[in-house]
Amino acid sequence: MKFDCEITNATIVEPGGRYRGTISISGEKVAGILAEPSGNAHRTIDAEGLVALPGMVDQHVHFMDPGDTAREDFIHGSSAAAVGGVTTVVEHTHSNPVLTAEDLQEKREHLKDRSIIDFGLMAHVFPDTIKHVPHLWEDGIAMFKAFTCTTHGVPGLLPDDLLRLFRSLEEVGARALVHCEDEFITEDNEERLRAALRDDYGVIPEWRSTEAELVAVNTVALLARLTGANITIAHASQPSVVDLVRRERELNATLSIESCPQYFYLDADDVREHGPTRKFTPPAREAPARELMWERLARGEIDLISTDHAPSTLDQKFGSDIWDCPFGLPGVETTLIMLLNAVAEERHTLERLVQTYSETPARLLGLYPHKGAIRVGSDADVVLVDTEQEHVLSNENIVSKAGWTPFDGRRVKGRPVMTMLRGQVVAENGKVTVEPGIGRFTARP
Amino acid sequence: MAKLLVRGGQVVLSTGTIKVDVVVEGEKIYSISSSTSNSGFDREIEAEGCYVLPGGVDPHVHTNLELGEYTTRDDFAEVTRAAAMGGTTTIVDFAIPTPQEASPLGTFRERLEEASTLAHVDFNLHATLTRVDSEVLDEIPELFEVGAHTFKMFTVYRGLVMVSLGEIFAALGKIAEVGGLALIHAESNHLVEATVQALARRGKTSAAFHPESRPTVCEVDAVQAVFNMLRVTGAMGYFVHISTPEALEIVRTAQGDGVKVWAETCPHYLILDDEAYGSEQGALYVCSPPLRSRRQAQELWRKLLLGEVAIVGSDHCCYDTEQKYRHPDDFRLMPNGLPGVQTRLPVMFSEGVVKRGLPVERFVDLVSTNPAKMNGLYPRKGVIQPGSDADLIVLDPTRQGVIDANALEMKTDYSPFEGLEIQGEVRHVLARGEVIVEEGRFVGKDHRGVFVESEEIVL
Repeated sequence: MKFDCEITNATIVEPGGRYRGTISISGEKVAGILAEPSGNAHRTIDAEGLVALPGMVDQHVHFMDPGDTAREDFIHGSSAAAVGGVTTVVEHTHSNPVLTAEDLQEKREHLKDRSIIDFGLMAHVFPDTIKHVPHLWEDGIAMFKAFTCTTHGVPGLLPDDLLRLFRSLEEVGARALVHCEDEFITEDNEERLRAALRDDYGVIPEWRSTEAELVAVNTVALLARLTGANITIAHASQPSVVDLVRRERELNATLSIESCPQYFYLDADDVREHGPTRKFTPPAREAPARELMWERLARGEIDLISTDHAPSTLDQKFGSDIWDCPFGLPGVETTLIMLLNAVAEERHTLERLVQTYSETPARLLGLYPHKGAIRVGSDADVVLVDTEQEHVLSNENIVSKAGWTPFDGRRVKGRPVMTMLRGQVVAENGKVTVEPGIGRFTARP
Repeated sequence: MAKLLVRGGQVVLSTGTIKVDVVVEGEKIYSISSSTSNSGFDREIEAEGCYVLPGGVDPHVHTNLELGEYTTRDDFAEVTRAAAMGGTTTIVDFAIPTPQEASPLGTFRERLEEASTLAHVDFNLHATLTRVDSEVLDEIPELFEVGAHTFKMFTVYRGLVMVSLGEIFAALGKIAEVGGLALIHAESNHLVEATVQALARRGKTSAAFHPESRPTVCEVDAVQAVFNMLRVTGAMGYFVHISTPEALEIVRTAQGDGVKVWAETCPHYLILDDEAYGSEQGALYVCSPPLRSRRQAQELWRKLLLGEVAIVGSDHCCYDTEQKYRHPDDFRLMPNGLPGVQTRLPVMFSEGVVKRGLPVERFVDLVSTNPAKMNGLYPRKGVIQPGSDADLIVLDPTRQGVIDANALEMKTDYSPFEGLEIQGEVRHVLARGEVIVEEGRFVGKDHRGVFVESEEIVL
């Protein structure tokens, strides 16, 4: 039997360690891992000097399609992901949420020719749509998204709603990603800041305060423990969140923690200086907290990394004042780069990177080992990385419709040079090499 | 180079368990693949229905151990043969200076020579510091150079191997400097001596009083003291044979604080308990630390299943019943230690995977991968992946048996697990590509075991 393709001389990284080998691919699957090239393949990709990682799995992106395609669409978003080494995303759009099984079918249909990479979809849960959880889960929704606060036009769930939701999740075995900020605290902050006629960029960290996040996390973590539901805390921005979740976990809560590159690379000083292009919530915290986030990542206390890719163009960002301009950052194409740069800076390891940005999200999504691993029988989703390549990030090279990155001008080390999805090269050196429609909806198995 | 195929087993990889073929070329694993053609192999091993696991790595073995009045009964040929029969393809023994004043480096070299001529499976040695002075401190980097990256120290056994906390502190500084790891036998000597004396004054010296003579607080106190010093010095630490959940709790807290520290326990602390000392055979179970209460053993299991124990070692000390019973009325004169290099892996598989639902991947972590990592032997040992040493075991998870000392290879006439029903049997063992156990029979020859130098400790 001849293999379709062999990736030779690669250093293959798994969460447990790394080794040198050849990845042999038949069709869409990994057929063998060999110590040396078999020489028995139709095509050979020489990965000498490169590192092979399983394709990244980003469980938190907003491609705004359908919904707000002036900000982003699925073709641009999934192209950016492919270029950035991501082979699976889970997407949800606030302005056109999936609330029912019918919404899910409609969105799947709409996206069938619009993705470069594999994707799952997340459903929103509003206070009056909790009843749709079982049906959506049955139809293959990846997970559910809930807010503790009314944000981005999405209505928040108060503890009584959360309790009902978590019970329902527990019953069917589904997981939810929960945005945690306490609405009463943020409203109180807002009132005070507006009364003082504040419209400087410094309002963001004060408005979306650390207390607001912690109070909401506390409630959500407690309810997770009481119900046994499987809950992921979305975009943890500060070390206290991690510590609080760790305590609840010790009491047997099924909790995991997601965080994003912006909470490691940006801080409140950046927000105060740049305003709209550093406006996201929960916001970047003061510099010392950021340092402690790195420590917790290195120690394995942050389960997974996602982007929370939520782009808007610079015109949109600067089209209104600091209160009203859109929240969110673009980033699905820079997350892996920023994590590689952190490896170069010895903040963490490639093994930790694979664990937090590929294996763990794949496991939590029920996609492992099809996704999240380079092993025999798995989907041949491979990203080749040059860990030595230094380059400067620039708005000019951004593939997302946003057209900018908060890391513009930053010199970084390490970048993905080739992305393979199910045996097919979908991006190479910053360029997409295929037409949209290759990416499939990944129902839970 | 000879090519060998292990066909159709459930292969436990670091990414999970999957039915695949493993191809071995020479001494190394060549490939993991979903379908392999029939031709071109010098040999095939059918593993259908069996687990294929990386060979066991036992991080805690004492061979030919001279301590006080006693010397254990086995040599390196015998211990490695028994290890292989029990699915262990790498042992890590000790180079313990005797007398206490001898040089750790000199002892290490002698021990290396002794093991190299006899061992049937690969091995590494823990350097052991039985005194810490400027001479010994200077030897630490040299030991590191020759491939000993792990340094054992005892907080107990005064006059034989004990070093003071002050000496441990000095050594930890140096160990941190070279990037080594400190192995600690943690029992507080002053507490042990005081308790033993108090019992002896009242004539309570039978084996039944052995556990009382070394209570939980001895272990907890020493672990806490050494942990404090690990935190200050930045050295990596490894507590051998942790017997109590209370001590394990300190290790867990330390890990939460970012200190690089791990805990080992042994099968006997999980499966046996201190009721054994009440029987007529009480002396056979004397080991230090002693077996603990039923409650503590159960709690230790619970913590192991939660992932709070990194490694299961045997602490193999091959005494026989003549030695164990030589001074039947005085635990102070009894040899401390239990035989177990052969039973470690089968007993843990049966009691852990079969009886308690321990995932087979976690079992492999405990008995193979983590010990390899902790000793700087990974990924040469402890994992099935291309390029690693072809140390493999084929284990049939359905076969049943009973532990019977007469049927074991170990050079002793008893087992602390005598009569224990076991499910799961090691059928074949490959050590660096050579089949050394076939259908449960030892077929190895030529004492092929070599010293495997420690490289980076990655746990």
